[in-house]
This record gives sequence, C-alpha cells and structure tokens, in this order.
Amino acid sequence: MNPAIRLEHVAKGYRFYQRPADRLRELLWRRPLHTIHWALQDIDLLVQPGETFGLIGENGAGKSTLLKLIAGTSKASRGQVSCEGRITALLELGAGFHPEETGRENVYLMGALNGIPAAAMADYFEQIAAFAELSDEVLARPVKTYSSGMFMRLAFAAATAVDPDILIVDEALSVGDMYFQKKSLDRIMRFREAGKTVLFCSHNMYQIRSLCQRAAWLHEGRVRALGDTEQVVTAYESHEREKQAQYRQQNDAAASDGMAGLSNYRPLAASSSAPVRVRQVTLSGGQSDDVVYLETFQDVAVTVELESVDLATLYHVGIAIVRNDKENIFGTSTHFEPDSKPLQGSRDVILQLPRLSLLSGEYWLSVYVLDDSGLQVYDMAELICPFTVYNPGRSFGFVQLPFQWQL
Amino acid sequence: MQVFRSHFGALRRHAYLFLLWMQRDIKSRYAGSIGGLFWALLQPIFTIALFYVVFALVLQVRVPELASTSGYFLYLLAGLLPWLSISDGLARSTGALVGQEQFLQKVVFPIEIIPATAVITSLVTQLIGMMFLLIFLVVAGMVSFRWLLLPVVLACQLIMTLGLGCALAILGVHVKDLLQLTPVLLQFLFYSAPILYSRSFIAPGYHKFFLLNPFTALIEAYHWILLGIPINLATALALGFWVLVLGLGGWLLFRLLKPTLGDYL
Repeated sequence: MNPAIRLEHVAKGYRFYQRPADRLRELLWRRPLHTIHWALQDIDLLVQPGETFGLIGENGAGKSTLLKLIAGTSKASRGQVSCEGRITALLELGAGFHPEETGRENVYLMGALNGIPAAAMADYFEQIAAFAELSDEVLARPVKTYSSGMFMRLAFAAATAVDPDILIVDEALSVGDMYFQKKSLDRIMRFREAGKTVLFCSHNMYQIRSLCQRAAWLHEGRVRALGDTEQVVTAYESHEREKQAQYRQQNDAAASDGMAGLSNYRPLAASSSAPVRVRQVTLSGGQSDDVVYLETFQDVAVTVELESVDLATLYHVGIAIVRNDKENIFGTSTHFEPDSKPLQGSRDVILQLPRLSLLSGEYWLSVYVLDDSGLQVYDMAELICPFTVYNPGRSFGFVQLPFQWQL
Repeated sequence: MQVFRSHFGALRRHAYLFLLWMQRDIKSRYAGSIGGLFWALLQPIFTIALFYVVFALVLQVRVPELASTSGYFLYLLAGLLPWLSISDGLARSTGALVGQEQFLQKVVFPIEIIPATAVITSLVTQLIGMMFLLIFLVVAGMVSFRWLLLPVVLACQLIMTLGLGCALAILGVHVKDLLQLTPVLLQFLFYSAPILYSRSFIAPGYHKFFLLNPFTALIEAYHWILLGIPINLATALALGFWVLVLGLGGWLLFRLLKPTLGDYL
C-alpha cells in the first residue's frame, strides 16, 4: 500500500530581500540579491494510511510550514511532497469565513471550497448545523455577531463535515469550551477509527499521547526524533525542561546580582567564623550548582558534607525543600527526631527521601546547621541545589498524597 | 490553447464556488451602506452625468460623427459604460490577491477565481447601462444588425480585462507599488482612448499611436457596433492583437508566478 503522505528530502526556504526593489532587480538581471531562511531542511517522512501521526516542536520549528506544504498552500523549494487521497486542512479555524456573511452563507462557501456539489449542499448544511448546535435563527445572522465559541464551533463543524482521506489539524483543538473540545476530539477519534489518516500538530502533549501512534519532533527545521509517540514526546519534554532550567538559571543569576543583600544565598566556599560549616551539598549525585532532574517517586538522597572547626561543638542539621517561589514545601531537622542526639565533628549527613512524592515543579534545597538546642543557626546555605521534578503520571498539584478510590 | 483550457478548466470545476465567491464579493462591497446595491448604479450615473455636464453642456463638445446634443450623450455612453467596468475591474484586481493574503495562506483555493471575480462583477453595471443605451437607440431609430456583434466585442473585452486583471493581481503581490501605480495607469488609458472625444479630434497620422492603448481599438469597436461610426482595418487588427497579447500574456504570467505565490503573500 502506498503511504498516505510521503516527503522526500523536502526543504523549504524563504527569500528575504533587503529592499523591495531588489526582488525586481533580481528578476531582471538574474543576479541573486536575496538571503534565504531555511524553514525546513532534509525532511523525510512517511505517514501510512490509517495512521494518526503527531507533529511536535517549539514555536518556529517549522511545524506550520510543513503542514502548509502537505496541505498545498505552499510549495517545497526542494524535494518531493506527495499525498494519496483527498486532504482537508484545518490550518486555522474560520479562515475563509467572511464576518459580514451569515453562518449559512459561510458554510455554503466552505462546502463549495471542499467540493460539495450544489445538490448535496442542503444535507451538508444540516449536518453542520447539528454538530455545531446552532439554531436556524443564529445561522441566519452575520458571523461577526457570534461569540467566539459559536464561531469556532461552526468553523470546526464546516471543516470536518467533508469526508477527507487525510485530515490535517493544526492546534485546532485548543479552542472552545471543554464540552466542544471533547466533541471535536471525538470527531477526530472517529476519523481515526474509520481508517483515515490524521496528521495532528499540537503543543498539548497529553493530546498527542492519547491520539497518535507515531510522532515526529521538529527542531529548527529538521526532524530531531521520529518514531513511537511515547519516545518522541518524552525526548521533546526533557529537552523543554532543560531549556526552562537554563532559562531559569540565567534569570536567577541576574536576579541574585540585582538582589545582593536581600537573598540569603551564601557561596559554600566562603569562609566563616562558624564552628561548623556546610562544605558541600549534593543531591543524588548532582553538585550544588547543577540542575538535577528527578522524577516523581524516584529515590533521592541529599548528602551534606560538614566541616567542624571545633570538634567539641554539638550541632544539628536541618534541610528544607523550597519551591521556586520560595515557599517551603517540606523541612525537617535532625533534632526533630525522637530521642535524637546532637552531631559532632566533621562528617557527612545523608537524608534519604525514598519515593519522592513531589509532583512536577522546580525546587531548591536550603541547608541549616543549628546548635544543639536547635535555636541558633551556626551556618546556612539557602536556595542551593536547584532541581526539577517531572511527574510521568497524571496527578497534578504539588505533592502526591496517599489515596485510594472506593468505587 | 492548452493554457486557456487548464485555467478555464479550473474555473469550470469550481463553478459553484465561483458563483458563491462572486455573491460574497458583490455583497461585501456594499455591506453596511444605506444605498446598498444601488451604489452599483448610482456611481456610474453620477460619473456619466458629470462628464456630460462638463463636456457636452459647458465645453459644448460635439462629435462630428453624431452631430446633436443627444448624439454626444449616446457617444459618451457607448464608450464610458465599457470603460467604467474595465477600470473598476482592473483597479480591484490589482489589490485583490494582496487583500486576501491571510485567507490564501490558510486555505487551498483556486486563486484564478479572485481576479476573475473582480473583473466579472464589474460587468454588471455595464450590462445594465447597455440595456438602457440600446433602448435609447431604439427610440432614436438607430437599430442595426451590427448589434449581433455585441457578444463578440464583449468577449474581447472580457479576455483583455481577465488577462490584464490576472497579471495585475499577481504582480501586485510581488510589486506592492502597483497598488499606487494602477490608478495613474488607468487615468492615462482613459484619456488616451477616444471616449470623451472622437477619432476626428485626432490629427491625421497620429491615430496609430492611439492604438498603442489596448482599449482604443475596443472602444472604437463599441462605437462602430452601437453607433455605426466606421473603423478601419488598423483598428480591427489592433483589437485582435491586443486580445491575443493581453489574454495570453496575462494568463501566462499568472501561471508562471502562481506556484511561488504562497511565499510572497
């Protein structure tokens, strides 16, 4: 069987001219005067008939350009794009709707655009009116008087009422209320079940995961990963998290420069007159300045290396997990333990956090060295060891609580 | 011929879409105005009245071929009606594709329809006006068998304006300056065609230069068919030449530039 969509060595470049006149001059003198921006390069892609294929990537990665090439609103600069069967592209809901025209007139035009013959138009219209749940009275009004929800419902219904072999969906589901989103998703599911090919582009990884068998991750105009949805999406998500962490670190650096004196952060190597000092803190192997990536329910250990100047000093160690908005999520100290004895001398203290129940978020550690009463602070290192937790499960919030459904 | 067939084929395949698109075009042009569709008639009536008052009554222009006050009026109508339709069609085609850029980036659309709509909807006024002109001529007892040639000259006009309109529409995307240039060009074409004046105003030997305006021959053909003002062989050849050049040339240019259109919108 032929693939439904086949792209071979496809590249798409956009020409830019410094001045508008350069375009004309280039045409006349046959001398290149443009610079090319390559939106897509070396794209090889096969989508099989009946497959639901996901397309993910950051803004500007070339997703929309790729969809335009497949839909046919734009031509590839190099390579071959071929599709088998009739294509309906939902590149933008309501593109082609005229605000001054009534719902009915707009639906008729969309129908004609999708090749519905005049004779079948009444049926087509009824079907759309039913799906969009709009009354005849509403459909006789210009669409500029519609609420955005009504508009989107009508546009989605009009675009998907035709029976394409290939459906291209670009972010269309992120509109409308929950009820309509569910309905649209159901319609795409039905296309899938009917053995149609669906090419689906979204920033919503949940939707990609639940709809697509395979996916491609576009990065800077090239395919960075291609294959099983779960693998591709996971790779993309960890890339996104890294980027966020980098961004946050840069911002933190900038923020701490500007907020010197306000922040309690103290470089660990700084000398101090404290009898006991925090020398080093490591979180599951990560050094104090690295961002550590953890997953919910991972076993985590915090190791605090302490240096005691005066071996006789008795002390306790407290550790807190601080969310990136400086809320304490959890804190404990050695002196909270029943019948605890104070510590003494240079040594390591390890805090085991088995099955870390934090959900997705970004956190820091704060470490305190306290006297034997737990009242005086000898030394501290606040907001260190940045770490990011990623929850592979589906519960949401800050922490996983013990729970049980009774059904 | 192949070129014509493929493009006319696109228009025929999308005949229903074309029809709806034209309806939308006509409706949206006058949407929200009190006059509504009447503007399609009021605008040319005002223009014709203005030219008639200035040239026939104030300047006392008479065409020797039809020597009377009403003669000049009929002469003016026979040339101005097609010209108003032509210039309206061309002016609107120039900006037609640029104006639809948001739409064309998102929807696969047979873009021939867009300039064709601009040209064809502009014909409506002309056809209504022509009916009145024919009634006037019947009343004046100037009925003629030459009227049977009206569809032919109308077809010539359509091919010329469709070709030029498509070329302007697609060039308007590439060279935005056309939006400023076209009105000037249309003014030039208007005054260099024998619409306000007749051929007898042109010094002998200079007529061939006027034929460089593609619409000179067309307007003279209208004058001949409707009013019986004779034309010579040069005019007939010029008409054939310009129908071929504008029709074929316009389509070819359109076809050449169409594939890359998406990149420039």
